[in-house]
Amino acid sequence: MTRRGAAGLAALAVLLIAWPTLIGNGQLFFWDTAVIAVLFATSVNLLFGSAGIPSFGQAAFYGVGAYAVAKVAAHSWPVPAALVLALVVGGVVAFVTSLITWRATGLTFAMLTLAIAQALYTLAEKLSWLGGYNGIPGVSAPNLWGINFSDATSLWYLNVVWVALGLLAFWRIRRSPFGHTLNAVRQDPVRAAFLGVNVRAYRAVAFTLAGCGAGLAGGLFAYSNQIVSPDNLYWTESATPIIMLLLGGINYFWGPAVGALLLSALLNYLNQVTTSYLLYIGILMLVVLLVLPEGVLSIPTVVRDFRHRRHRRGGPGRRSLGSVMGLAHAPPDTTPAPLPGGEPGMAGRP
Amino acid sequence: MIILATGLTDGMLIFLVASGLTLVLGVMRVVNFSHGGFFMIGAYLAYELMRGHVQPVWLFVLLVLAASAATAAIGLVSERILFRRLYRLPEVTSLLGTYALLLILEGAAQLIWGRNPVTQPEPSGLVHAFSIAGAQVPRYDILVVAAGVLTAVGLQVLIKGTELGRQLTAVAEDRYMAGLLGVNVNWVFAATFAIGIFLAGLGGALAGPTLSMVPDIAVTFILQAFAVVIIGGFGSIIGSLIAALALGLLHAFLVNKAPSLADFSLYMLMAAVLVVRPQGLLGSRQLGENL
Repeated sequence: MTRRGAAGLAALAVLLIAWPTLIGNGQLFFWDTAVIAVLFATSVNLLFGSAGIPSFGQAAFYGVGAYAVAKVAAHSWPVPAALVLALVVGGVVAFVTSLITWRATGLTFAMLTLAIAQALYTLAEKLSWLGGYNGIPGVSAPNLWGINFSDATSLWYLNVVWVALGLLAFWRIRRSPFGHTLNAVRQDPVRAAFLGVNVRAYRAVAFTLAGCGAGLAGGLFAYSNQIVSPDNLYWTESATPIIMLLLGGINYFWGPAVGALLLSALLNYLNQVTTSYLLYIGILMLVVLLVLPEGVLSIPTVVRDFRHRRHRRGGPGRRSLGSVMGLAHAPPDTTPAPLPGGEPGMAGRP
Repeated sequence: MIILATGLTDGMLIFLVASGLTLVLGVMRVVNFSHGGFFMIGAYLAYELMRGHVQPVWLFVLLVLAASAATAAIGLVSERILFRRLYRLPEVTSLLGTYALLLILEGAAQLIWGRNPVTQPEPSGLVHAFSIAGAQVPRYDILVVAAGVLTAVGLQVLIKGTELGRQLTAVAEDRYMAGLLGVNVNWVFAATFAIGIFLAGLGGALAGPTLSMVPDIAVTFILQAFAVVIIGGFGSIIGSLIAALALGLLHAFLVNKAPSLADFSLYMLMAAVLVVRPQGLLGSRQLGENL
């Protein structure tokens, strides 16, 4: 790690430790959910950004993680054991899902994962063992080594530590040979297969790991939110991290984290000023998609490219005569693009 | 008998939504999440035109068609403004764009009509039930089934028998080649989208009297329609008809015989079909193949 990176991380750590005193306990719950969203979105980016797997059912693993913690919290399992259980359960359910969807790719895969998550949602709504429609209320973390987690500040540190561990894991995965192979699989699955990569197996492992991350995030959410309900499995819960990825930029490790913080803050704000935040989120998504398709983290690159191009053309204001006189029309949009269907496994990048 | 009647009606409503979805998917290769939003807009527009009052049947049909046409007009505007920018993007990105449009439509409906449910009564003359073979069947079901049959037949005639249909097929097969051969791809896209959204609006306007309208119906219906499209095979209209009817019948059967399983009928059908035929009932193995 570079010296600048290390300094940045140290500053971040200090900020996170001082955060409860900076903002006060009242706002802490919102920030708890925001850092949990950071972990969830980062786990989803292993699929979209690294492996090129378009999953629309990550709420399934988030939700089962949350339910796992809620169930064992009632039996006073110690916090680390419960969270590891959430992680394992998320991973196992994700692995089973990847077996079911083994042969599907692209849109079929996206729709199948969506359907599986919805099936789990329906199941959770029906099972009285899981509290049915109302879910499981009163989830609380039992004391551990004398730390009382009903205190908001302790809960915040619990979240920060586990989210940091999760991010570290995903950082290592992305930098590992496995992560690089995933990149190859995303960029050209056919060529990767020719090179001897077992594409489907790699995708299954990536899917399982992302499921572990989602399960852990869900488990943390159960402690912070204190109630787990079928809503945590609902498909809009799968869409939220994807919006975060889009917002932050899927090509960057920190993209989903930045997107998660931005979206959480925005939702928090919109909920106070309007009854219908969906409209604004939708408009924001469209603007980002069309103007900044690589997310807010790509702004420096976009600006640099823009200046570079202007420089090459010999400064601003120089246009061709034809364009000034309206003679040289840009070709209309009739140029047919190559079929998206012909590029298997592409995810989210042109 | 009652199972058959409710199953058929539910299936036809799903088919109306799914047919437009599969048409747009097959021709334009865009997974249109906002389809459910247009379904919802169609329902609300019909409600708005009738002001929630009971109407005679002929006026009801006319206003339903007007609401569908208005929905199609909104769809056409969004196609010109938004969708044409999405065609070039990868499938998953364009899917996010249509999801954003769904959120916008739902948010707009929340602002205009509020979150409280509104209801549209059935047209006068179709209010009561009639009995066949000892079962009470709502008369309104006849209208829905008739609309579904007309749509299925109409789409087949349109695709197999008209110039537009041939162009549609050509663009669905290979839009680049079709463009080279002189088909105005842009125009075909616009026409396809308008037809698809018209069907979404029609489904919504007809479904209006059968449900209490909240902006959330945009989301609940789209999932069923998607499942039907997957089960039937991407882009296959007959496939989605079969799948929609099968789903409607299975659901009605389970509601009667095993109510606790009814909510899973969608997933059961999906699992059963996709394990045997991953490409769907009548799908071809083109989209998203192999790796």
